[in-house]
Amino acid sequence: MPLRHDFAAAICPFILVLQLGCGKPTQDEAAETKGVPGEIRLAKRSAMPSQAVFEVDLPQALADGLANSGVLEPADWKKVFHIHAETAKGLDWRELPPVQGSYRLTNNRLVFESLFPLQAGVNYHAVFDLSKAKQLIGGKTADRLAEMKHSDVIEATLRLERPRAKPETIVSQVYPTANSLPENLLKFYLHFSAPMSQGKVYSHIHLLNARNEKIDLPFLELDEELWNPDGTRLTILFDPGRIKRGLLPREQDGPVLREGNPYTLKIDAPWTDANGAPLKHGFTKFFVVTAPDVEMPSPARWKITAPDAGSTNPLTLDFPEPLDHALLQRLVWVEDAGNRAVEGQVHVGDNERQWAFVPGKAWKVGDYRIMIGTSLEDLAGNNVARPFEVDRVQRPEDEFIPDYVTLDFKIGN
Amino acid sequence: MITVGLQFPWFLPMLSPKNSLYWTSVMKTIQRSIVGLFAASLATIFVSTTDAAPYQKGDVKLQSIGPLATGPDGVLFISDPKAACIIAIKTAAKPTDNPSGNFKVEGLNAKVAAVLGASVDQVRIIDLAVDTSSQLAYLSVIRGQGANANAAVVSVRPSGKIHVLSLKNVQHAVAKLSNAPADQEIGTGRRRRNQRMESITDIAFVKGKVIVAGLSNEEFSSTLRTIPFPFEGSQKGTGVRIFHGAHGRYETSSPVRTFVSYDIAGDPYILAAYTCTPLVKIPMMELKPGSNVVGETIAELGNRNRPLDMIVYKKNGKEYLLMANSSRGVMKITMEKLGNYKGITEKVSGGGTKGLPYETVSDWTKVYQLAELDGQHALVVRGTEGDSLNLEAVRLP
Repeated sequence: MPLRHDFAAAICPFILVLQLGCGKPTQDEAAETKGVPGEIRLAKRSAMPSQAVFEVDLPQALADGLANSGVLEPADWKKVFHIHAETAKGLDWRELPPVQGSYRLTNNRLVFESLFPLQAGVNYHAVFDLSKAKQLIGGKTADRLAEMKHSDVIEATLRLERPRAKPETIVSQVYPTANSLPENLLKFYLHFSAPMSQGKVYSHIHLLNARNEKIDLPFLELDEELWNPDGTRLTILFDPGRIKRGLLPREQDGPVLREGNPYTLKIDAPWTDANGAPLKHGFTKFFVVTAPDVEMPSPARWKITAPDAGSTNPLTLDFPEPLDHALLQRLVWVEDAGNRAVEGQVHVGDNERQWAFVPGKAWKVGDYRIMIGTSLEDLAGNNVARPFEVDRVQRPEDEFIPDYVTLDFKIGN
Repeated sequence: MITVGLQFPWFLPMLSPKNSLYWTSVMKTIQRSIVGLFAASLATIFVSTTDAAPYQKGDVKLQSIGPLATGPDGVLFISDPKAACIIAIKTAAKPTDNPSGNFKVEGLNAKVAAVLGASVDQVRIIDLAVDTSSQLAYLSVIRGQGANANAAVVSVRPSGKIHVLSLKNVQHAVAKLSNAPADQEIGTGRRRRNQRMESITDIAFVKGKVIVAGLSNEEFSSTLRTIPFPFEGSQKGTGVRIFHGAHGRYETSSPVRTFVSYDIAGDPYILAAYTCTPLVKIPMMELKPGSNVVGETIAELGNRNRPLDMIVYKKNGKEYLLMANSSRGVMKITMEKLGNYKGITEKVSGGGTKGLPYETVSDWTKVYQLAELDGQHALVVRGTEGDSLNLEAVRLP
């Protein structure tokens, strides 16, 4: 979830929806010093054009009076000039607290800048209360202003236009890609072509049985949704309580997946991306369930194919079973005889049963080592150091879990 | 305040300024005083360093936000999962004796959205923490989606006043969380990136330490980190791997969803609810760097259920654990027998639950967040009609 204070360029142009009150329109230059406050408007902030601010032009006497009123707290300004967001339909914005932000008075102009960028598509109700301003400054200035004939309250409803979001984002891939998956499958990785909306993901992801019926609560519905940093990959865990032997959820409901049965993973098209557009289309993945996998991945059984020196051909590892797509990219790498990591690109293929490494520079003759983090898992959460479930009766008392294991290979002519 | 006086020798007034001894005495006195002043200054610096060492003044920029916790003297701990750090903020909250039992904010999410200037569907409340001393509630909140999302901490007073906590020029300290082994970026050039991220599922301040529970978005592992507070220099949380031993036989990695601290016979324990629902106890003394810890099951809470939040409280001389759940309301567990409890070592079958007995508090419905407010009340975030949330004080059962 990258966080930036940028305001999407797409929100421009600013659209003024409705103007209430008797304020006289003013120019976008320095405020004119007429006897009445001007209209409330949205304006780009010069220091940060992507952020819009609310501003109202004040009569000279009022601006001077406020400027000479000493240091005014935000709570004082808030009484004079307050902005309310229409947070939801059916809610009276007057019943809700005002938007938090900062105030400044420059060139006879009172400016309110919200703490966070305005949200496109939301109506903001801005209220300027002249009588409250008079109370703030008091004295002769207030008396002089009292003689002016104009409304005490100026209101405006303003909004930043939200561009129509086109459905362009798709589910680009779901891992594991194989169509035969073990009964104790632990997770899916859902890859999207663009950052997605977060917060209610489980209502869009379904597991269907052979009769196309939705299976109740197949996944671990964590409030902390397991996204990658840029919001394009979501990790979905099957409920581990229904995988582990002996636990109550499994005793009562049984495992989610059952050997020999077909299932469909379904992702709904109405799920919106981070820009608010629905997916271009939904996604389905059909698979059949095989026997539970209780074996640890064994690097000793992997087939190494080493390329020739002088080439940039890939070094490949072929596995007898599919391994975890994400972990294959992060936890397997190559070091040379000097323990320096070899730079290059990792490609995972053959339904995650092959790892291929293409070096950035041509291979040199020498001894190399493939480093394998022991957290590398297969599809059922068995890792290189430990199976998903360990029988404690058989586990050694002084169990040592190394961080990684290695496979050696040579590059020759 | 340190004052250093010039104490001249008693015989000085008897000497003439023309006498060399006069000036020698004056100079020595001044030298001693300067040394004394210097030493006193050093002492002042040392004392103030000790006081202020954990904090630096400046802006805090959150990349993301997760659970919150409160500490002593108005300290607020904020977790930032994306930046993989815990930030301690020295707030200006002042202790109060005002009664807090009428704490109630209806339509909490709409009001928080209003202060943040957003529509309610663009605001997610992540966690609730309460500073019991000042009776201030804090909410971690995410506003917006994708690259335009913002993280914020919102304070709520018993009066219902909602305010976004300013993170500009605040006294703060940061503890980075240690990375998993071989946590490297993938690929080269523009494709170089690391997609691994560890969600922070809960944090708490326990006896001078910040305890952080995490869950990876890749390997199925659980790390519980303990970070001594005040944070020291480049302090990194030391992690232990957490396992769950089901009925004394099968052992698996088990991410911790929520936890609370509790003393058993004077020894501190962590009571943790795993994502796979068992409630376990873990002695704090076992949380040593690099160790593997197996939690002992003390209760099984059944299927179709997610543990959400927990508190421990005392009433009529007895201690209880309250646990908010996704489907079973709030569970109340009597802690009386926990010290002697040997844990579940046999398979649970035939439905029902096993372990410590519990009762369901029937009138506490749709409770999503739970925090201790005072000796008589908990503060809860609970659902009402539709998607509307309330923040309200509820008398402890």
